[in-house]
Amino acid sequence: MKTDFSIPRRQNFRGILVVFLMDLVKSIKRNIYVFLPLLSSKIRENYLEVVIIGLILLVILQLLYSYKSYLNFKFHVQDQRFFLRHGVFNFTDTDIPFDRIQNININQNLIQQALNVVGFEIETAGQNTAEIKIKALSREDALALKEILLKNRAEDNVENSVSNSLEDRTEGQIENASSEPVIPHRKRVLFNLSLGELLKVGVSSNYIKGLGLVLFFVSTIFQYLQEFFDNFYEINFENTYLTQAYETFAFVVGFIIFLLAATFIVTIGRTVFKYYDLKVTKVDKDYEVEYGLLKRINQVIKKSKAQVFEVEENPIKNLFKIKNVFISQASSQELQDKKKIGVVGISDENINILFKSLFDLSYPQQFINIQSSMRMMFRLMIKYFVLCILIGLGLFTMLGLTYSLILPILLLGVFTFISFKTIQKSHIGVNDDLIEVHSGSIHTNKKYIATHKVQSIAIKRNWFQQRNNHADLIIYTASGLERIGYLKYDEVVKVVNYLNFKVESSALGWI
Amino acid sequence: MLDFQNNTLNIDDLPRFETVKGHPVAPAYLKVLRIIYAFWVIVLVGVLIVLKFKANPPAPFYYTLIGVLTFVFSLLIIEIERGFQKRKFGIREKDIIFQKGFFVFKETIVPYKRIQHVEVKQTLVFKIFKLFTLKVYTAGSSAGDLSIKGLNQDDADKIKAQILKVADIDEN
Repeated sequence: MKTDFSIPRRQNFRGILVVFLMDLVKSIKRNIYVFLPLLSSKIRENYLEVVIIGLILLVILQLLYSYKSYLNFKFHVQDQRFFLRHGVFNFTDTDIPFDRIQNININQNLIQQALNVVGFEIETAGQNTAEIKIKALSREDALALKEILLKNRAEDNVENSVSNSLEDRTEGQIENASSEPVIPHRKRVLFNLSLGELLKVGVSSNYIKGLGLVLFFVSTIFQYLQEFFDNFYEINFENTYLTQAYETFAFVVGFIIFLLAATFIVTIGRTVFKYYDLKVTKVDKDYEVEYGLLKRINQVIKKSKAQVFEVEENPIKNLFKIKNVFISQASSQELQDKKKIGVVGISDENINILFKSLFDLSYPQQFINIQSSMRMMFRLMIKYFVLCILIGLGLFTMLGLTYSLILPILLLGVFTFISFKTIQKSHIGVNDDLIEVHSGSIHTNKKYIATHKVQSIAIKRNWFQQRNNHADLIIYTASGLERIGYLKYDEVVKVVNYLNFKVESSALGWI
Repeated sequence: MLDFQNNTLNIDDLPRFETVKGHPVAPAYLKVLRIIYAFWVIVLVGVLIVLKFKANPPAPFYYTLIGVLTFVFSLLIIEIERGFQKRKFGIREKDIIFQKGFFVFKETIVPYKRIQHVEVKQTLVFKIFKLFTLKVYTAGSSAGDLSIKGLNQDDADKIKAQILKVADIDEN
């Protein structure tokens, strides 16, 4: 049976649970610090009943709230517009004309997977209109709704495709000739990342975030264990271990090995969870990217919407002959990192295909570069210097003078090398159609932006730069900003004039 | 190092933003800024005096606090007094330029084509001095948008008219 979307309707019945659970997770995440006092055993012993009763009350309130918000959430389709009315205490009415719809994403997180429903997101081009998120629809309904919402645009696309490339036009028209009221689908899998390849991506990724996670986890557990042992066995960790120097040494080495191993596993695990079964499909002129183990993400890369094309490589990745590509699209909110669409573990050949379809240009391109000056060393080293001094002071209280001198000096050496590499890799290149922002330290990061997609440009010069004729160049796009530090002022002026000319003389829009 | 010889256009023939003559914002805006910082100086001095007599904090702490506050405020006052001469806007056929800042000098260029929305608004203090703020929004991040504070009515209207003439956008 086909669902009729022209009458106002609620989400899928199982949506009550989805809405409730998602709201619950959200409010727990937001108020996590409320649970901090529970870490202390005193409060746990004395107030446990009160806390539990309070929590149960809150959960019941949340259930009522979520139920009401489920009841009030109604949407329908009429006159080529999508209408939504939602709210608990006050109602919000939203309506979106079909032609303003930029993108439709169908996602499934763990809760939705368990209840066999999907999340439905409508992205619009407008600046102030928010995105619409329907939390629970059955898969059939979601696909039917997507088809209805995109039907209009598909017809548009066929008309517009006269101006597009030849092969797209002919095939598009043949599809349309069958005059079926469905979107002409021409699906072709561009590439599918196998588990083995994904492990390569994991091995070659940045371990710093993983290390941070492990340290955070270990320190929490350690504190908890210490408190636990203190309470029950009255053993003091510091006394038992620190009195026996040899055991302490073994413990430290063992601990470091454990940390490294844990970091390695956590980092690879994160990558595998996030990008599990990455699949890139070409649908008509756009690309559909799908990935994730627990939370399956399905996103569409549109040529007009794509703003920044980012290629990431590092020495290990080069060894494996893979690269990571991240594509940022224009969004109505400020862009966060997780909004980037990641196509990881991609070969040069496939980068070429993606690049070509987004920019109509081959990859790599030739650029005229301008380079950051070595003066940037001052700016980069100040924070590293402070960090090293702090580490030195910290070590001084624990291990004495020798260690507190040797370690920070070694660290400073490492940081100097990293800063040197950072500056070496920091440059901006321009050519007829593109901007290349080059950055990185050990890894290399290249971002490509079409010149006509620049929103505005700024030149920033601090007090020193005003005297030594250097400047920072900031390029604003619809998906964030790019900043290139310590360029020669007269060269920056040339680049700015050139980019301005490009933006103002181009007939192309940014979206 | 930087030459566009292969291109059909010569980089030196391009319009140059650095030669645009800037217009200063209304001098009354400096008055507003002075009133605001004078107000905060008075408030802080008052708080410090009350603190001294009511709580009597330890001397080293108290004088460090005074030192830090004096330092921060002198920087702020230098920024306002010296930076005011640098606050300038420029209007070209196809874009609008705004520059400001003494310690950190920032020049922003927004092409009319990329403007989504213009807004002229007035806060309470601005109303007394007949000043306006002109805000220009692009689709880029908010740091790249322009906010020209302290324009007189004439300038604000002129800039807005110029933008509306060239760009096809919503008016507000």
